[in-house]
Amino acid sequence: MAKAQIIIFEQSPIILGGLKSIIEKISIQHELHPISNASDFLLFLKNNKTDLIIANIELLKELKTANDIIRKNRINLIFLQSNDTLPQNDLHYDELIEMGENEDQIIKKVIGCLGELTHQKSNKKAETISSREENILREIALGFSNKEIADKLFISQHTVITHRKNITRKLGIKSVSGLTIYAILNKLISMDEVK
Amino acid sequence: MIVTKDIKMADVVHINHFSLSILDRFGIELGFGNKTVEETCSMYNVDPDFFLEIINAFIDNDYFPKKQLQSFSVKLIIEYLQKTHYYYTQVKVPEIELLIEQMINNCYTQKENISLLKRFFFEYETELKNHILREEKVVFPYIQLIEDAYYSNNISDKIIKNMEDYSIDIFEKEHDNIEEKLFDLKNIIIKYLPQPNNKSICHNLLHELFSLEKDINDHSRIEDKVLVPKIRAMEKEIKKKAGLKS
Repeated sequence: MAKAQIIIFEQSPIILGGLKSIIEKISIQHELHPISNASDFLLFLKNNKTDLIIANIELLKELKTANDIIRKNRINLIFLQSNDTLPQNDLHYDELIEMGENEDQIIKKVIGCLGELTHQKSNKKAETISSREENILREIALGFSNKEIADKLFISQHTVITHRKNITRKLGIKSVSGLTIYAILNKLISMDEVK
Repeated sequence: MIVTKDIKMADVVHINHFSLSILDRFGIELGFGNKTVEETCSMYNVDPDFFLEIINAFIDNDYFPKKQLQSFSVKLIIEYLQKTHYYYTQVKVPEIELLIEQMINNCYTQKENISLLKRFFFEYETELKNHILREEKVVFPYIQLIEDAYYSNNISDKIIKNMEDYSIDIFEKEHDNIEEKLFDLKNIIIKYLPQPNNKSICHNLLHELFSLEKDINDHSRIEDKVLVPKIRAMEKEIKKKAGLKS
C-alpha cells in the first residue's frame, strides 16, 4: 500500500513543527517531508512522487518551476496563510489553512485533499487470493518450477510469474518454503505430499 | 533523539532498550550508575565516536551521517560486524530455537503445524550461517587486503590479481536478502497460524523475531552504506596508483 507523500514547505521551524505534529494524527498512511528551503523543495519535487503540498504562499509564489510541476502533475495544494499575506487570486490552490484554525479543521482539510487517494485504496480488489491463484500456489508449494507449472496448466511462464507476484503481495510471504507452510495450514496440500 | 557523549549511559538504555544488545557487543556491562557515554566507553576501552555512530544508527533508522562513520578504520567496522555475526548465531538463533521447541512441547492443539515452523526456521538458520561464513571467509579478508594496500605504497601484482578475481561490486550484487524468510515467518505466525494455546511463548517468539530482524537490517545498512562505498573508493585509488584504468 503506497503511503501518501506530503510535503510541508515553510521556513518557520515553529510552524513546520506544529503542522507536523497535527498532520501526524491523520488516519491515512502517510510520509511527511518538512522542507524549509527552495532548492531542497525543488529537488524533492523533481525526484519524488508527491501527493500533497502544504506551503507558505510567499515562498511558493516565487518558484516558477515548482508551480509548473505542481500544475502538470496535478498535485493537491494547501496554502498556509499568515496574517500579513493577502489571498492570491492568480494562484490556484485546493485549500487554505489560516493561522488561527484549530486542529480539527486542519485535519479535516488535509484529509479532504487526500480523499481521492483513500478512495482509490478502498476500491482495490480484495486481498484474498483467487481460486486460480490457489491452484498455482498449490503447484509452487509442491516444488514445481515456473516452467513446469506453465506446462501443466497450459499457460505461459510469464503468466505464472505474474500470479506468483500477486500471491506474494497478497499473502505477505516471499519464500517458497513460506508459501508451502501457508498451503499446508490452509489445507491446499497435505503434509505428506511435501515430504 | 540523538545520543551524544555527555548523555548518561543509563539514558541510552531508557531511550531504546534494544540498544542493550549493542552495549553487549562492545563489551559494556550494566551497572554504569550515572556515568556518561564517554566515561563508560573509556572504562571499557571503546572508541566513543564509533560507539555513538553505531548506537545512533541503530536507534534511528534515518540517522546516517555516512561521512562520520566512514572516517573509522575498516578494521573497526569489520570487528563490529563480526561481533554481530557471533551474536546472531550464538545468542539469538539458539534463543529462538528454544522458544519454538518450548512451543511444540507445550502445545496440544497443533504440534504438527509448529513443527513446520521449526523446520522453516532451521532452513533460515542454514541460510544465515552460509551468508555469515561467506562474509567471514571471503569478503572480510578481501576488504582487509584492500585497506592494507590502500595505506601502503607498493601495490603487488597479487593484490591486482585479487582485485580482478573479486571486487566490492560483486559483493554488493550477491549480497542477498537475508531477511526474507524472517519476514515470512513473522507473517505466518501473525496472520495464518491459528493462535497456539500457549500465547505467551508465541508472543515472546514474535518479539524475538522482530528484534532479530531489526538488528539484521541495521547490520546490512552498515555494510551497504558504509563499507561498500568506502571500499569502492579505495579500490579506485589503488588502481590509480598502480597505473590501471579504473
